[in-house]
Amino acid sequence: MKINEVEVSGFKGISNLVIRPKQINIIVGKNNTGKTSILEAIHCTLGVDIFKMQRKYYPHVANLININKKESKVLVKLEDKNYYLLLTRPELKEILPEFKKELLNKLKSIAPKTTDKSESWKKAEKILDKILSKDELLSELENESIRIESSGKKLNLFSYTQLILKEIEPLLDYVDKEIFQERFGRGMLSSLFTIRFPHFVHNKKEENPLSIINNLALEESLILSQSKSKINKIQNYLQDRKILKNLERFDFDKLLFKQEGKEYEIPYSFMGDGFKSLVGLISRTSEENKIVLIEEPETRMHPAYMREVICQIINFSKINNMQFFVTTHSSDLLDIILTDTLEPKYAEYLSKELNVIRLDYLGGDIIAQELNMEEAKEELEELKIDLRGK
Amino acid sequence: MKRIILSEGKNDTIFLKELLTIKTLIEESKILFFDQNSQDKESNLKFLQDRYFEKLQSEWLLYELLVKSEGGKTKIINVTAAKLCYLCEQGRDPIILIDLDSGQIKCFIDELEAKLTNRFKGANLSIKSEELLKINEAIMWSSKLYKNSKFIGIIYVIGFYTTLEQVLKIDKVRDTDEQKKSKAKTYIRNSRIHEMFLKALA
Repeated sequence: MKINEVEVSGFKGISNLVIRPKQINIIVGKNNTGKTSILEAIHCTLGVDIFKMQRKYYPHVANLININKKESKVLVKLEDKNYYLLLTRPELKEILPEFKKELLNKLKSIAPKTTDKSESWKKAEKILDKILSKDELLSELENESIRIESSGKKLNLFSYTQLILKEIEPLLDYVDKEIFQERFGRGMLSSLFTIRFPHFVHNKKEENPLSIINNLALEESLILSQSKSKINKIQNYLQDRKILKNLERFDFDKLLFKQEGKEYEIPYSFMGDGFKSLVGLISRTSEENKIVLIEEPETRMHPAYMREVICQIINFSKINNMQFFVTTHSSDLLDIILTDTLEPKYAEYLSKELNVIRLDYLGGDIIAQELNMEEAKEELEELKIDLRGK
Repeated sequence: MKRIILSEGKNDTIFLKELLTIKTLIEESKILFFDQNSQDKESNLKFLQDRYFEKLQSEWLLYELLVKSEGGKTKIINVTAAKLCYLCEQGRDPIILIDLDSGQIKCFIDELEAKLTNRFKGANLSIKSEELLKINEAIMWSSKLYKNSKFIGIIYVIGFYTTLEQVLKIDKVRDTDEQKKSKAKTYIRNSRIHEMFLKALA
């Protein structure tokens, strides 16, 4: 599983951008030059979870379409298959009946059981029709709605903005206040309308090609699911690479150390964030053929651990055929990759498989410069230029 | 507008310093000089180039012109490619001074264009180059850069047909810096080379 090309058009701040990734892609650039947008574009297009995107940008999902463009288009070309994502702004007449139906269904789902349903909802519908004749609301609905198309499926998403929520408040008279308060609370009205469309695109039967790692450190649920063999693997790695001095035994509960014949334990939870991030990455060794998106792995990490993370990334890429997209602001990370301090086997792999993608503005648009290992090294060492852009 | 001149070597900066001051194209105190070759490569000079670009950029420093010598034509091309976004977005319109070594200026421009279009593959970059001025010992071209047909910046290229040293009659090995300066002054007073820089700096 490897992405050979990504074309992004009209997605967030990106007007038009083409990148031709290699196995290890380091994305650099100033703030707001689109580093995260590239990861998100890949993330959305490979169809994992539009729902997460909706939650992240709610209630402004429609703003995913670049302000100067009519639509967002992302094309991700894999070795054997192309995936696309198309975001458009639907016309009001196309979405109004669907919005009305969806809203009524949502309200019905929390209606009191005792109410005379048919009579009550006829009234509610009349009120809704009246609400939906207001120009301000209609304009907001049109501006904040978006159509998502991917893998041959289409879906309209409505954002329940503050204005829309305020306008539909009279309809709350038709819902069960107790259920409503209990389940959502008045202050969380928007959450009622946000939670929907899980896994719109991703077909669960297919293998999910993506592995998204926003935070390298493992979450509690993942820690609990780690097998004994995985834990042993982590322990061996930590001991072989001498990550922790005097480490006798590693576990997610406690770490056992032995010094001058005396044993002592330190709870895993007491370990630093950098260490946990490294462990988190090591624990993912069993994954194969994945495309991994990592945001700023350097966060709260000492350069020495950063070096280990880099070595792990190279190992996974080489042995497990994993493709990495890593955003960074860290000059330490770039130094580790590009200066001559990496083991020759790692440096040799990077000389073929490293792609430094530098994002910047040119002619008012975000553009990408792609540098191979040799070019990036030359800029850093010979020309003494900051690869991250200035 | 703050500007940048990219040249090949130390002799170029000696020549440019004399040219810019004799012809009062720009006040000496407002020129910042950078010679890549004279920097100690082993010392802690990380991002040194960027520090000079930042100095030029600074609102608190009064520099109007950054004169750089890169250590050869290839490095001029590489620096231009690496800093193209900065140069265009800040309207620096760089001036490149090179020796043609009896070659064609078009060859250098073709190489520069190839590097830029290759580096910015997905950016739909196009470049239109044309001759602007000719004098006995040098030629000047301009390369206008377009992204999606929108003008984004211009690069001026001034090339001595032979070499700067031949034109100035400098002996690279024997002449001291003072002798080089004196020869540069003589040449500048008797040539039309300043017209090219006047045009580019206008």
